[in-house]
Formats: sequence, structure tokens, C-alpha cells
Amino acid sequence: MKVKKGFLLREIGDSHIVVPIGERVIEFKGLMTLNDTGYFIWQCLANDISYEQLLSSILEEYAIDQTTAKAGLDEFLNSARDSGVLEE
Amino acid sequence: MNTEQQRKSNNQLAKQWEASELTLAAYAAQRHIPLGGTFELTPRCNLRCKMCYIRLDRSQMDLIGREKTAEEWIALAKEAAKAGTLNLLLTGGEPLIRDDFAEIYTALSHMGFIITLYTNATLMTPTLLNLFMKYPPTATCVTLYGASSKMYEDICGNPDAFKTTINGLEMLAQAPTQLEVRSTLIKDNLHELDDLRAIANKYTKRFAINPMVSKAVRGAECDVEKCRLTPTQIFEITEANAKYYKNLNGNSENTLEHNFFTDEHTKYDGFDLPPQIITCLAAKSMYWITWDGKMLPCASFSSPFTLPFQEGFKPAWERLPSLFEDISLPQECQICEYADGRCSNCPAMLQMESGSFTEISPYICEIAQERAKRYRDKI
Repeated sequence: MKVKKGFLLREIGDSHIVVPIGERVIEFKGLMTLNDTGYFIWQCLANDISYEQLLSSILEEYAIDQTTAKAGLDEFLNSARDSGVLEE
Repeated sequence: MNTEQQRKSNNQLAKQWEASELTLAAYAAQRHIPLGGTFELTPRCNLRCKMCYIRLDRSQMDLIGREKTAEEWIALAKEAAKAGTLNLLLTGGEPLIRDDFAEIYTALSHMGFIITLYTNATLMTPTLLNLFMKYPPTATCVTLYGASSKMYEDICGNPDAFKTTINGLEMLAQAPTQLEVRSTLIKDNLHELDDLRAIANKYTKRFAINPMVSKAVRGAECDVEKCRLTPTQIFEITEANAKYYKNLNGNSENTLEHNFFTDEHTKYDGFDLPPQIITCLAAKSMYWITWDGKMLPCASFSSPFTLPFQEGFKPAWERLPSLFEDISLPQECQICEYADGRCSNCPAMLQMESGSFTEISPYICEIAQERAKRYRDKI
């Protein structure tokens, strides 16, 4: 899976915000604010990556257990799917 | 208040704001990030509305300065995006009057801005519709000045503009943009409110009124005394329209209505951030860039300003608040009984009305008096 083309990650101060550009404005109105973990996952999703690879990247980056990492990742991916930003 | 106390107070305010829909604005204001900006692409307009505070003929414009080129706007937009601008309003004059509008718009729509377009819709073409179908502005606000050709002739000097406005609305209603219709109410069209709303509601539920007519700024001319509503009329029409929306749509649409009535201040404790004379977000997280390249806190100011095209966007933005540090409201305003929120105490409105920051404006005082009379128990 990866992030669809047409979404731009903006840095506003210390915040990371995803906005649609060009044609993507038609299907995605508004914006997505990413927390630190969300920002990390978003960067991982710049290129095609599997769920397992994503999970292992999170476990390498953060000192958390697998259950917590999985819960956080699932929450992010569900939200990203709802917003229609993922290509799978 | 010392620095530590000030910071603490600001943090508390930020928390309050962050509990509301102004989260990002609060965040930006605290960090002096230019989150919301306006590019006033031109002062020219194909209409000649009698109450317009900003329109210039080409000959008037040429005496004052020159419009920035598409290349200049695009380059400045890149700097603005880098500095943190997210919400970008494109306006004029009439922005669609520019031959290079599509070039500017197309480039800006790929930079990651949430774009709002203000237009009178009369210059909409199939080509522009194709552009907006492909790259829609997030929001488009169309101004509707009358409900008939006669009213457009009386107000805008062009009877045909009623038809072209409706044609433009028909086209824009097809685009995937959040369409809003806005009407400035003056003596001439006050009685048409229901008709204006009915036309707007054919295309969108979003209809807002602006009952305030400001004196012209930055070289424009307008005879406001002949146009503007009395303070009593302003409050009556605002309340009536708000009531209509509350009954029709609930509080959210009512809020939308109020959002546009920028003088609708209640007691407001702003962030203790520079410039302290400005009690809203202008120069804190918002800015306005005029057609000839001046950066101002908002549209209502004429001066002081910085020059982003010359000194660079970020330096111009960072310098802007300091220009207002030594400006204070007139002594009369500072000790006025209405300075508790019944008056907006807005330096921009004062400069518009009286031409300076040192002279009071009878019109602003009358509005404050009217507000005090109506909301005696509410503040």
C-alpha cells in the first residue's frame, strides 16, 4: 500500500498537515493533521510498503510493544482509508 | 504582565481556542505563522458597484502602481507556502478579469493551499468552468448584488450583469466546490433580501449578508453616505437573517452568517501577542497582500505596510507587527464606556472611517451605541 498521488505533506510550524492538491480537492475536502507517529507512517507510505513492513518499521522507530504498535497502525490506516488517501 | 505570566496566559487562551474550531488558528497565532493569507490579484472589476471600497479603473490604477505579474504572484505563493500559509483567498477587484488568472490559479492549486475564490461570477466561461472542474477551489464565494437587471443597473451600473451573474452561478454550481452566495446590503437592495436569498438557495444553502459598507481605501472612491444602512438597520437585518437561518438550518448556518459580520464583536480577550492594538488574528496569523504588492494585516488597512515582493515574504511577514507597536487608539476610545466589547475597537475600521488612528469616527460610535442598546444584558 502507499499514499495516492495528489496529496502534499505541509509543515505548518511544528505540525504536519496533509492537504489535497489539484484534482484531489474534488474527492478530499479539508485536511488531515498528523501526530508524530502519523507523520512517521505517512513517510513510510510514500513508497509501496506492506502491512508487515510498516509494523516492523514502527517497532524499530518507537520503543513500544507489538500490540500497541498494531493498534496505533490500524487506527491510522482505518482513518486513511476512510479519507480515501490510500492506494492498495 | 511579565514574560512568564504572559506565556502562561497565552497558553491558557490557546487551550480555550484549541477546544474550539479555531485550533489551527490558535496554534498559528501563538507562533506567528502566516496561516491565512489573501492575494488581491487586481483592483480592476468589470462592475462599478456604488458601494465598492476597493475598485479602481485602469487609469486610476496606473497612477498608483502596477499589478504584479503571474510570475511574481506564483513566486510569492511559493514563499508563502514555505512560511506556513495554508488558507489562501484569491480576490480582487474581480480576479477573473485578469487574462492570466488561469495561469496563476493553476500554479497555486498545486502548492498545497486550501483555496477560496471570491468572484462576481459574471466572467465565468466554459474554459474557466473546465479549470474549476479539474482543479476546484475548496470554496467559492459569489457576490450577488440584486435580484433583477434593474437593481444591477442601479447598483453595479450594468443591467446585463444580473443575467451574467446567474449564468456564472449556474456554471459554478456544477463545479465540486463549496459554493456560497454573499450579498452586500445597502439602501437600494435592502428590500430584496428575501429575493436574493431565494436566488442563492437555488444553487446553495450557504447565503450570507454583509450589511456593513466601508469607506473606500487605497485610492478607491465610493459615496458611502448614499449607500450604507443606519446602525439600527444593520442590527435589524442581521438579526432577521440570523433568525431565518436558525429556524431553517440550526445553529451551524446561523454561525456562518455571523462569521461574515466582522463587526459582531462581543467582549473578547485576544492573545497578548504583538501588535496589541489589533484584537483579531490580523498580523498574528493572517495577512492581506494588495494588487500592487503591499502586505497589510487585513483589507481594511491602508498603512503601515511591508513589501513582500521586494524584501521577501518571510521578512515582510516578520516585520509587519512591529509597524503597529507605537500606534494606539484615540484617547476617547481608550476611556470610552463601550470599550468593553460593545465597540470592536478596531484600528483598521477607524483608519477606514476617519482616515487616521487618532481621530474617532461618529459612525463607529453610533454602531457601538446601537449594540449597547440592544445587548445591554448580554455582554
